[in-house]
Amino acid sequence: MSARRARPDLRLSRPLPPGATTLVREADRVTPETIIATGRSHRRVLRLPAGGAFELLKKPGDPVKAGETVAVTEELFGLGLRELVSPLDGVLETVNSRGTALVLAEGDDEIRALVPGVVAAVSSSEVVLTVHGEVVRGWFGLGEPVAAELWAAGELLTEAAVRLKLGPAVRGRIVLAESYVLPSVLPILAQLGAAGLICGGLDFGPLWELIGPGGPHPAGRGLPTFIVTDGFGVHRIRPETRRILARAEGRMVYAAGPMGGRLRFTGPPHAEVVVTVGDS
Amino acid sequence: MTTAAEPGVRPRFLPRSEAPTALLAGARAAYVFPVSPGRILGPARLVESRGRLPGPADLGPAESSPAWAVSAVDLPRVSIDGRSTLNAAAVRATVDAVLQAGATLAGPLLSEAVAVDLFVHELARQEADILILTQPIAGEKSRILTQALERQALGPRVLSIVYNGPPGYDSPELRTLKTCTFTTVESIVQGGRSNPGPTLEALGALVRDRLAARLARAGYPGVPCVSQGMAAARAAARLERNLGELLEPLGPDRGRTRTSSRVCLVVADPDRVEVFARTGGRLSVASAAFVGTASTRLLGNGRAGSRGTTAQGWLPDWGALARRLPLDLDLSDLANLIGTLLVEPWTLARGLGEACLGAALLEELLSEVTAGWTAADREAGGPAQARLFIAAGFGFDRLGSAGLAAHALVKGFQPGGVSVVAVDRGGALLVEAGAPDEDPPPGEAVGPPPGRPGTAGPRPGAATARPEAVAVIVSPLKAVHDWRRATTDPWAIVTVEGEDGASTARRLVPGTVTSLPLAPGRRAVLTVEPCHARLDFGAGPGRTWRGLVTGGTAGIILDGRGRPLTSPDSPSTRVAKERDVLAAFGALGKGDLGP
Repeated sequence: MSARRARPDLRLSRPLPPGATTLVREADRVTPETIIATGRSHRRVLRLPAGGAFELLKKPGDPVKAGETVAVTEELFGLGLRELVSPLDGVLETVNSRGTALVLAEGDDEIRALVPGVVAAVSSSEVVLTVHGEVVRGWFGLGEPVAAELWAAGELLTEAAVRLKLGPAVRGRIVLAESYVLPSVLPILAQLGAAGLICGGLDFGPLWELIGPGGPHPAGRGLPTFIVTDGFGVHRIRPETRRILARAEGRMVYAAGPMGGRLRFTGPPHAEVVVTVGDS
Repeated sequence: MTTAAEPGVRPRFLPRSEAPTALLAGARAAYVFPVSPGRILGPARLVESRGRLPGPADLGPAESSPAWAVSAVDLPRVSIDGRSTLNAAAVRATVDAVLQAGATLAGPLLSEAVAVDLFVHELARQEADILILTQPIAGEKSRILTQALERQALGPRVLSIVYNGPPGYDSPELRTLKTCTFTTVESIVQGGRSNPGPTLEALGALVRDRLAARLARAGYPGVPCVSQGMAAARAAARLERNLGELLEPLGPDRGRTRTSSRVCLVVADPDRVEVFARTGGRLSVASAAFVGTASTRLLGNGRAGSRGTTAQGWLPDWGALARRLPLDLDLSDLANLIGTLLVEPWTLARGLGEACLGAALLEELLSEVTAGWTAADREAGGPAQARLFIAAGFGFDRLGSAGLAAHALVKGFQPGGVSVVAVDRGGALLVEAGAPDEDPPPGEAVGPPPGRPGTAGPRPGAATARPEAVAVIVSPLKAVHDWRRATTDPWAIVTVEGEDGASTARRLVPGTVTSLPLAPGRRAVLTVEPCHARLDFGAGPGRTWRGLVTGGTAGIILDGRGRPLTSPDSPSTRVAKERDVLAAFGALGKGDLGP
């Protein structure tokens, strides 16, 4: 959508997961690395075979590493064995009473400020920061808040351009595409370890195949945070927005989709990009 | 606001409750109506609210103090717990009660989670304000819920827990917690029969409290309010009582049994519909939404569906959607337009093309409701058996054409026999049904809070708002047309005899959709004589249907597309036929959509 001029007291809301512990107070000055809260927001469930034909290699409360075997189950009437592998770093939280599923939880997430600023308000559901900078409100977006260096990729209109331009250089960065991108870029960026994508537009049909309930990334899970600035279809980033982002190339920017865990199309909260100016 | 000076009476400021407006705050758009106490005086004014409750400043200085409000904004989210495979009747009845109270279904059934530990995780994810237990919980599940509430793992809100399962259950642990309230009500199923009253009353009180607090925060303290769901339930009851004004069979009407729905009121937003069907004094409700919980899945299957608790919504197949449109649209453009509509569901259709797409999306939602309903309640036959269909809500209004809205109802429900389709522009029926009542029934109390004088409103049945009839639809209950064949013998001879004695007859020919003029408000005797012994138009196979009907803007439509509806395979023929149908409904003029 549209970009707004800088306002010295831009207010940025950082939603917290239920049960999070806040670590800052009003008027505290924060840096991007400041931990403002801790909380547990990601869980995965592994199914166990009915009838107890399994052996747990970890007990509830034990830490686990991604790729580590947490249980062994019998297959083919005991003739074969299958390993259940943890998909995350965290703890084995619990095994249900019927012994049909185990729940793995990522360790307490450290929720960082991601931008320099001052804490304006604290509640159990959000921390509001006052930030000195400019904001670009997205047309649509998905994903957790991230802060990373903005990396301009130019146009990513074709498969050839994607192959040519995207490589290890995007790891940990937020990729800025000038206009329309193919939605298939998103899984590629996930594989390359990019932190996010900002683009002018993309087609909704193939995007829905990716992020819809039956898609491989429901509600955007497993994809980098992405913000579409101008709409579905072929759109170029508006000059006003482009000017703000051009000033941020090579610098750290903050980007956030509007949701966590549930598909929502309308805001607030909106997808947004914040380009900070100096320290608040 | 001041009144004109009367002899001997000093001008005075009117208190808020006497201001002559009523507010309808839909989930996507809001309307303001000029009213005298309890009655609507004129057409609604659309207020750009973007899904929020508009503040007094948004309404303008003359309209900043509504006399009452009907709202669908920020209603409590309800999660239902119950093993639907064992307790389907209770779950379905609870879903009905939730929608009728005007609350929002927060998500699929928690018991479908593969692990009991996920119960709490799912409850937090669904951001529930109310949890309804349709069966006792015990053991590990009860312990985990109690622990989560103790440490506020569900967030800062106080969770309202309502138990409506079999008698004898109590939870002292939950009763003593400060982070929740625990209420038990009579079982929602007693002796195999539905008993929704106590659940509805408890939910109604919770919804009313939330609405009152929300309105007070928005700048309307003490304004009497009711949820849109409750207003729609009342409106459906009034419509059922007044059905004879629009359609009155003069002979047998065998096509619809006593258990069939008589009135079907659809309240729609661009991305969701709620259907309120009245059947001989009984109300059934179902909803469907593209993103969120499609409750018809709960109704239809008694469970969350094959995708389990991760199900978040659905979108129709692009190709199927394109086949509903009277234009040849590239699938990529079609998908992008849908995405745009989902991102900005408060926008009006910018042209007939977008309006047709909006109508097609509503048709898909209504088809979903019908399919789920039929699967869940085969005896009643679902809303397609109704005689009167009314389109209400911003989802229809934004199309900009009553004919297009009516046609969406026909394609979504595919009514057979003789039916009437009508529209409720701006939601006037909902607003009038939501007016404060001096003696509200249990669970429907809408009056002001204690200590505040009420506003005199209409008595039930004293409604003045009427739906705008669009067309009387004539179609066989069941007949299939083969589009590859040229025009065949007629299915029926339809005769209209006006009040002046003038009579007009026309053939209902398969594969065609034509109209007979009957001006809005004019009464006529309609006779439908089947030409085949197997064809049933509501009076039984081969028997003549006769009844009194009232005209609408599109008159009487003779629908020869068959039931279930089919369309030609050839894209060009299909588009041409679709345009003919829309023209018959008065939604399309010559050259409106280009070649």
